[in-house]
Amino acid sequence: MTTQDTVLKNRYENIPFGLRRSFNQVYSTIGFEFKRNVKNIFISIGIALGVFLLSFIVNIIRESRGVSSPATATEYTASYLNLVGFFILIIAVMYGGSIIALDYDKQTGNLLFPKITKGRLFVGRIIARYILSVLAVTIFYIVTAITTLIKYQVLPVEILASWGWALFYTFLVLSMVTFFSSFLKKSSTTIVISLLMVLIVFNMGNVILTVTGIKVEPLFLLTYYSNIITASLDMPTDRYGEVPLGPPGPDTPTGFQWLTPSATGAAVGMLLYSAILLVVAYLLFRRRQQK
Amino acid sequence: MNKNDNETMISLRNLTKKFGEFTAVSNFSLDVRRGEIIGLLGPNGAGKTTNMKMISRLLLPSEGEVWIRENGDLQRLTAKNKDKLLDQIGFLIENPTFYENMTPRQILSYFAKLKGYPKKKILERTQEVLSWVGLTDWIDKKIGTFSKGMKQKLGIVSAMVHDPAILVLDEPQTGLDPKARREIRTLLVNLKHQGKTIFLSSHLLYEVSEISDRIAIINYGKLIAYDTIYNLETITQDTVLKIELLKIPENIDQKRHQLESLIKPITGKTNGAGTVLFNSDTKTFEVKFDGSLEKQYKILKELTKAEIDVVDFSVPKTSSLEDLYISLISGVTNYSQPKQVEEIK
Repeated sequence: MTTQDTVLKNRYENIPFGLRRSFNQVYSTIGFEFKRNVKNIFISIGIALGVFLLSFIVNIIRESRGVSSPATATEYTASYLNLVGFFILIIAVMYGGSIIALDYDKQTGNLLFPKITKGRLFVGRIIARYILSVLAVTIFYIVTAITTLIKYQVLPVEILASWGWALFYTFLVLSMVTFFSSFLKKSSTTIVISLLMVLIVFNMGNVILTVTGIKVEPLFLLTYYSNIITASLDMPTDRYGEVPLGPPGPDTPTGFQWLTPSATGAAVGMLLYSAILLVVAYLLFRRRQQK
Repeated sequence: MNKNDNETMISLRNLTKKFGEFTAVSNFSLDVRRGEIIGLLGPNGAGKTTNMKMISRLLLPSEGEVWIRENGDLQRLTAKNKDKLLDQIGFLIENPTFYENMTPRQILSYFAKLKGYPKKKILERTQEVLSWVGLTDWIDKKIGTFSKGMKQKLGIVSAMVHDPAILVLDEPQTGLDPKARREIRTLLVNLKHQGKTIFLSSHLLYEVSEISDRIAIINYGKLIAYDTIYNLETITQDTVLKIELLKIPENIDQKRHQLESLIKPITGKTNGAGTVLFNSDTKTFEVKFDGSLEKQYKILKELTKAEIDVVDFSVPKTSSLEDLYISLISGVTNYSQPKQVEEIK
């Protein structure tokens, strides 16, 4: 062994390898992703406050026009959650759209590899962006809780369950966006496709099930899981119901519609759904080559 | 070759990469020795980047192996030891593109952390490598405000930030202006003096020839030459004798045949020697031969004896690296196949 080899050996002997190296790299990636997304953090907090303000203003206008306030704190909290599914979708596409596609679109991946493996980068990014999404969703729930507390002098404990389901659903939507980001060419395409899927395709799926009268619980429709966020404020709630398929009237036919999944169904369904999406996303990412 | 041989830092052994039916790299073998700068030359699409990617395990070879020196031993690169072995190498693969909203400090710190560089020394190291390329004042500026050349320099130092023993640089000077290219050349030579081993690919012949100890030429995925520049020029040397006559003959072809009949018995016919061509630009006859002074004398004597009106008889300088490169990749010149690297015991 030459002197130079000895110098190199000394330099590298304290460097962690194996599992410790994996943790180090994932941890460093999380820190780096936070720095990379500083601008997005402010924007997402702004969106959270904006969505809250929108509901707040609607409530004020309603009260100013003589509509009485909700009777309970729980109902008042629920009035802020009308847009929560859409809000989570916006946050998820904001953080997830660029998670993989950007490195191929802008060729930034050329610098990252082989400094880090795709697996570690993938895990680090998912964790970092999920934490940032959680931050935005949590801020929304915090201001909603504070407003409810100020108005009703009481905080419904159900808000914690709703918050928990919201975080679960956030992970599911982020997984879906990550899946699209793993094979689509651009972040912008990923964002558009994700929005189309959630706002149109899944909703259309629900409509089709209702009009055809198929009674299979739509656990395969991602948007179905968002219903539990509001429903959890008032458990147990109706899980399905009949909805009119046309203008209200005595002869209007009705369709069968699932309203919300059970807690177990939602937890298992979202977990499985996310796992499948993330595993497929990772496999696609692993196979993907820079231009 | 022994695994403890202290000289070889990287050994590529029969590397082959196939994409479906297409073979991008075929049986590519070479050794990179300690402290050397090796230039990998080849036209676009020759397989340079594919080779670099196989060294970095960004692509897995269809066949063949990569051996890298670590801890005094040459070790075969596998999925298990890739962290350890690839830590010895700083890579710059293809054009570096950065996150525009980040600063060199953030990017380089991240890369150093990924490689497990001691946390306390990261800032110092970041400043050091940036000073090598004159970017110290830009350490906290957004990369989006950088010129292409600055980004390229940052890409090169990003490969060095964890202080690897070996640098593998794919086209490091592409897109740089002449001043920046010179700076990079100087930097690479300085790194060599620090004991670094450098393996760089390029299609810029001058940049490579100026600093490389040895040159590997690749074409259609195959190594067609690997030697020092001096040896390559000597082995494949084509000396051209220029003969200018008093008057341009009316029947050039007839004169060409006459000259050939006089010269070929002297030069022999190997590798096209003795073949006389007429260069219509310079209005001279040109004869390829091995450059020996004795033959020059004999040819001149023969021409004089045959009363050919020679007014200029000269041998220009030996062919440039560019001519050599073009003749090698176009197959005009054949370089004897490099000796296969020995089996590692």
